[in-house]
This record gives sequence, structure tokens and C-alpha cells, in this order.
Amino acid sequence: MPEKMEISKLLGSDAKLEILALFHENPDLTEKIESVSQRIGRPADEIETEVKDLIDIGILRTKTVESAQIIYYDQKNDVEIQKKISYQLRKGI
Amino acid sequence: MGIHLSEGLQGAVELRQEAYQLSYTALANPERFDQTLLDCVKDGMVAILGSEVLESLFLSLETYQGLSRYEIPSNIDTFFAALEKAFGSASGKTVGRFIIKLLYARLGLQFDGKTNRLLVDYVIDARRELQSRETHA
Repeated sequence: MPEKMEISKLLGSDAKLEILALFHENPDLTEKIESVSQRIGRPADEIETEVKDLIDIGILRTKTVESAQIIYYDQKNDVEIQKKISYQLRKGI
Repeated sequence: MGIHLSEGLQGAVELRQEAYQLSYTALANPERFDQTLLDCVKDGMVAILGSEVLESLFLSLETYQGLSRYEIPSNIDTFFAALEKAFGSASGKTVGRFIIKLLYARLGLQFDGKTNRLLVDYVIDARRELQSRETHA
């Protein structure tokens, strides 16, 4: 981070930004993808790819609880990504 | 409101609506509108990328574009262009659209979400709409 491709993986859709805002506001949120979709008002199948991208980047994580896949926020990794973006921005726009 | 707001965005809206005690007449005032727009830039950026990124963006805008944070509302086109330069065209537009959605929600305006419209046009429309409401109040 933040290569252009990875930036688009992070910020490339309205849904991603809504998911980021949701977890930043609720860092302890631990939810199934269906619950996340309800919270941001988008169908679950519409946000599957966005969630997968955020998992690939390392901002979200998954774990299995009672055979259900649960999504949660990796604040530590997100802060590291934000630091890298900040560093790039300070080098010049 | 006209658009569904996600919880993250809704939180950012409620936080400020109470503080502003939204008055269209007051917001039609150019200085008040500019302050609202700047608040949306700050709160929108913090909501999606955090305060450190926001401060780095402001610093970079000032250093490399000669644009202070306080000049952003009157140079919003430069700000949107800088977002595209910083994050790439598509992602920069998405970030700008998030800020506009926040602005429209706070002002109680309907955001139509057309991706082919220029973001700066939404700001011009919002300013014009509030001035029109003030005239007809």
C-alpha cells in the first residue's frame, strides 16, 4: 500500500466506503455479512466482493463461529495502512 | 432524506445536525455553507480513512497545491481533482461522492447519485438550492 491498484481495492466503490465508515464507527462490530449488508442498506450479494477485497487488504478478518462466517475489523492493520497512505500523501499529490 | 444512509454515514450526519440545528436560512449564508462543506470534507475523510490521512491530505494540498484547508470550499474543484490525483480517478471520485452524500444529507437535500455528473456541480446545486429556499422563505 498504497499502490494504485490496492487503493482501488480499498476505495473503489461506494459500498466499500460505507463498510469502512461502518467499521470505523463501530470497531468492535462482529457480524455476518448479511448483518453488515443490512446496516449499510445494500443487498448481501452486492457487497460480497467488496468485503472480500477488504479482507484481502487486511482491514477486515473472518472467523467461523458455530459454522457461520463472521466478519470483524482489524484496527491495528487498518492503522498501518492509513500510515502508509499518509506517508505517500506527504510525499506529494 | 431521499437516500438511504449507512450507519457509518448516518452517524456522521447526526453528529453535526444537532450542532448546526439545521436552518436553511443560516446555511444559505455563503460563509456558513462553506463551513458546512469543509466539515463534510473533514468528517467524510475521517470516516473512511482516519484523521492521520486527513491531516496528510491537508498538508499535501497546502505544500504542493498552495491550497489551505480553509480555501477548499471556494476551490472545491481543485480539491476533487487532488483526490483523483492522490487515489486514482475512480477511487478519487468515489471518495468525493461520499463527501457530497454527507453534505446533501446534512443539508436535507436529495442526492440523485448519478455517476456521470461532475461532483462540483452537486456543490453548486446545493448552494443554489439553499439560496432559493431562503428567497422563498
